[in-house]
Amino acid sequence: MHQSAESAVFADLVGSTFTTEEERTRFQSEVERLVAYAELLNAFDEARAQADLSKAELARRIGVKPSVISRLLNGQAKNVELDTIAKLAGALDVYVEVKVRKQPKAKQSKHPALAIAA
Amino acid sequence: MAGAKKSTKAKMPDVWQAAFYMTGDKKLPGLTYLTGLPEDVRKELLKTIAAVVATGPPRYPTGGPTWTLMHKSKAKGEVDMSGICEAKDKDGKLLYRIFCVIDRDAAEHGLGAASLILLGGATKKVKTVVPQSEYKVIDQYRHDYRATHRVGRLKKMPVWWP
Repeated sequence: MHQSAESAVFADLVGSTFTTEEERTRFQSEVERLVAYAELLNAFDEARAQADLSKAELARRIGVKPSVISRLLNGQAKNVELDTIAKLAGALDVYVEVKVRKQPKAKQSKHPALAIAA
Repeated sequence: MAGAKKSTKAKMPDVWQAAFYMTGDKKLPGLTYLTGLPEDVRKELLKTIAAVVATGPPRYPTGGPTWTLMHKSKAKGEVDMSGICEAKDKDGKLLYRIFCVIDRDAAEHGLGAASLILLGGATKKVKTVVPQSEYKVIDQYRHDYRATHRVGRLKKMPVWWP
């Protein structure tokens, strides 16, 4: 988030809502997890657009209903199965890299508990 | 597979911020709404807003349970809320909404960066609709923001902010 006099109002509200260091660390971690998930969905949708595939065609290629793809790419689907992610990647001719690493020692980590790079 | 395509989309700003719309009498309805919510609900909405801002609002998936781009109502005479986004949460039988507009060009009219402007909020029971009178107020806030670019400001960022 850009730091400015305007964004300070939002930051101040966050600070008065998440009052302990532990709460703030958890807040950051959860935000980073949401961002990682959003970026994964964006990466898939961009790969789909690059491949000039409609959502219906992508759905056909992995054997699901078009509504499943729509729900997935617009963030409606929760707890997407790893198998679905692998099938999507295969159909789009991309791969998804999941790395398991130790969290950095500093509490103010830039790394969420779940970071997925596509 | 077709070859790589050049994007025709306008370049999205790299840096975004959240800001609160301010009325002519210096009130921040979005802030007032959020501070009046149950703490757990406020926490969820703040996480969603922070994630949307960190991703870049135009890139955050819409249509999910927590973030939606509103569309024009098909019913005649209803307020046109298209172009407004809402962060959402549910707690028991109540649904909570904070309404926002995306201002890519905020930096050009005096704000620090491209901004997600928090306008105001509404709470409703499940299976009910937000009254048109409340939508009308939010729509007025949207138009007033577009005309004035008035937002709340604080002199200093909190020390803990990453």
